[in-house]
Amino acid sequence: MGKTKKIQFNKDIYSSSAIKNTIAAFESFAKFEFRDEKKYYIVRFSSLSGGDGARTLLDEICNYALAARKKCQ
Amino acid sequence: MVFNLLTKIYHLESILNTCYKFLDRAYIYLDAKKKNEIIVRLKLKKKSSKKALLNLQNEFMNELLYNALRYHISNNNRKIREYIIGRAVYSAVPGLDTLSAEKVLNFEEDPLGIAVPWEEKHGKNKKNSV
Repeated sequence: MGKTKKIQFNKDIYSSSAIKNTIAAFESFAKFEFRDEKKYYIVRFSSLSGGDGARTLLDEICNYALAARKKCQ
Repeated sequence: MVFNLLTKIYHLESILNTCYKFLDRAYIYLDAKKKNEIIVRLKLKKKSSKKALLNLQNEFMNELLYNALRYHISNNNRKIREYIIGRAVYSAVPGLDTLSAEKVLNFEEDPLGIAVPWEEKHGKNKKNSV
């Protein structure tokens, strides 16, 4: 398993349903941990494949969350 | 590339719509540290020069301006749009205006007997009187 990475999604911008949909979509690529904090939704994940893919996975998760945010409007 | 946008100028909705348009070409992450300020992090999907990234940012800003304008027009026209749709939906529902109008205009029913000829109505009386 790869190194654990963390993404902070601001609550003013991203909705919790969008983040949950994103986690569900990427579940086969990484192991996720979701936390609801004061101003942010914290998502920690470790890539299942390991290697250099974690950075790309992080970027893809950010993009997916943004698209999901628009869908969940 | 990271830059800030003021939500007083660009509404969050127009920022999101702009980001949505660039999702196929760039990785985008949004954050907000201060009130009324959105931080945008843009990163091209393909490895490319700094100039390409700058071009992307300029394109993003243009698209943002366009989306901001669309948002304002949409907001200004909201009431008239709702009125037009309301009228269209109302007139499309059967049984409101159309049915009652048809009932009134159905000349074959003739409940008052206006279409009955005078001879049919008063023929007997006439014969009797002659």
